[in-house]
Amino acid sequence: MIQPLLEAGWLSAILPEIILSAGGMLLILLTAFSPRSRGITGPLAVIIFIATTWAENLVGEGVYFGGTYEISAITRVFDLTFLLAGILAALFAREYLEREGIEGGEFYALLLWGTVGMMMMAKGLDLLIVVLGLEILSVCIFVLLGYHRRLPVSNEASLKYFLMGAFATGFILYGTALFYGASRSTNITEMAKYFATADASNPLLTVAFILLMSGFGFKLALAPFHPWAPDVYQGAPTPVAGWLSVAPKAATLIVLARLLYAMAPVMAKTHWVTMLATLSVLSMIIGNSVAIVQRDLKRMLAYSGIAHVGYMMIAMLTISDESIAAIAVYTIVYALMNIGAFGVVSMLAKNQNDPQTLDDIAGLGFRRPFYGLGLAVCMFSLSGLPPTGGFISKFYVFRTAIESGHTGVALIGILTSIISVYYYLRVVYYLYMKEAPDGTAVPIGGVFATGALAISVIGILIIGIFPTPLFNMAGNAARQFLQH
Amino acid sequence: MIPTQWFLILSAILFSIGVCGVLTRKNGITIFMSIELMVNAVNLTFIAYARQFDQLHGLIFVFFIMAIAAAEAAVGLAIFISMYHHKDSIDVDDANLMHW
Repeated sequence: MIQPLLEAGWLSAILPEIILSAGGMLLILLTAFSPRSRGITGPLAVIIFIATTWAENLVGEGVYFGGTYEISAITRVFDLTFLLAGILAALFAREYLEREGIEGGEFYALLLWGTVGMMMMAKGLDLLIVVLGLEILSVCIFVLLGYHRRLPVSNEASLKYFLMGAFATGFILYGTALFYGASRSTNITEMAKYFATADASNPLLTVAFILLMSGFGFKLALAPFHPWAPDVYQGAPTPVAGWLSVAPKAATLIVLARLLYAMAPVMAKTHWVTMLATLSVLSMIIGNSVAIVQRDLKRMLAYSGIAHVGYMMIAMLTISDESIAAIAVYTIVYALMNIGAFGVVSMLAKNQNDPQTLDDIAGLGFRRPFYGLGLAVCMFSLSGLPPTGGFISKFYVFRTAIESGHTGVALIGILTSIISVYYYLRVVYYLYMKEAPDGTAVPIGGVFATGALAISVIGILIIGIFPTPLFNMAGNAARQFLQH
Repeated sequence: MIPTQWFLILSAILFSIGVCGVLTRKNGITIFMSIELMVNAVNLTFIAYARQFDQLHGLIFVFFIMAIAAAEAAVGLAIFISMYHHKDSIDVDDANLMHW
């Protein structure tokens, strides 16, 4: 008889994933059998997300499923980031979908399942689990991007992401296969043992690393793998674009942190860190300089996202508990401010086929004071001005980089983030200093979108003013993570 | 027994053909076929290594990759059908609504 490889407590270990998966199926069945209940699928999805957040506390820490699934304090922090991003996206989507007449349980179900994929990526100790999670996430994103079926731009965004995403997956898989060939295992713990004694001059390892980094670089929208990002964000349903710009990046970063930590002995003897630093510097320079000339808000946020991934990559150059804590905090703050900014754009009542430019928000600060204020706070935070969370998290990333000896990259980061202040504050200028042209539509937002924006603004300010609890939590979690 | 290197060389060639196909072709379905070729080259690599190491692990990975590729194909073809409805074409050069 074959004994199953199940440790005690395996069921409660994947309780969050089970709740999310079952909740998604429930939403789809509800829409199929009772079309009139479409209106409650959005609130129901938010309740499922909150129930999952509660279930996170019941999960016991440990390694499950034959050493392939790790649950620890840091995976919990990242899980909470994914759930936060999901809740904000679902809240902003509720009224957006209603206005566009495309409301349905499928949308929220895909958000829930995408979150399951990200949780698998964050917790997977075996590359098989990571790849599986990545693909669950990717398939959900393909459909979510094309969810606005009547809209040609939405379809085009989906097509572009699909072709580029499948191409990038091919690279990730080939890199995985070559690492398997070198280390005889796909388990990251086993691979770490191999890397500790590996011959760093083996060209196979470098080829595998380049393939893997091209694939992950695509998923992160790192330059020079970024050209899909502006088109996809512009065409996507706006709440999806906000979610896409945050949550998958957080999941990919934690996977990368695991892998780079396992590879640390080899990285010390090769030029891989230089490659990573090049990607980071290119992203910061290209992202920030091209964002200046963008007038479409979603494209501008796309280039700003490329730059922000560049900042986060600075912390990845040397993996330490400080740098993992910095990334965890950065992704939480980034989720709040970027989904908040996309959320305000999603409220602009306009044909979604047309670009949503700076002119559309002219004078918004006086016509809709709360939305104007919310967007302004998000912009201050994205540009890294105190007293917002964006300042604290960026400061922490740069400090980590300087302490681990990457002063040059950190300097470029600081210089480019000074450039970025120009285009972020231009949005604030349009909000408060420009007169609205006649006939500009007033943004429409109901209680859900307003609530989500309030969560973003309050979160950004609380983290900015009282950062210590969050930093302590992330720091403790990261220390446990690296003890394995 | 055929040495493992031969399989690896073959899969590297197949992977490169796939990459070239993605970069040069214009028809969406052909591009997707090239991506499938890349994925199958990866499968060949996994199987070759699994045979050399005499492990099941690589073979299991291949099963999952095949399932992943099938799921991707289903979603991908739906996207192409949707594009055909909008544009009467699945030429990727016609997907040009957005550019800076």
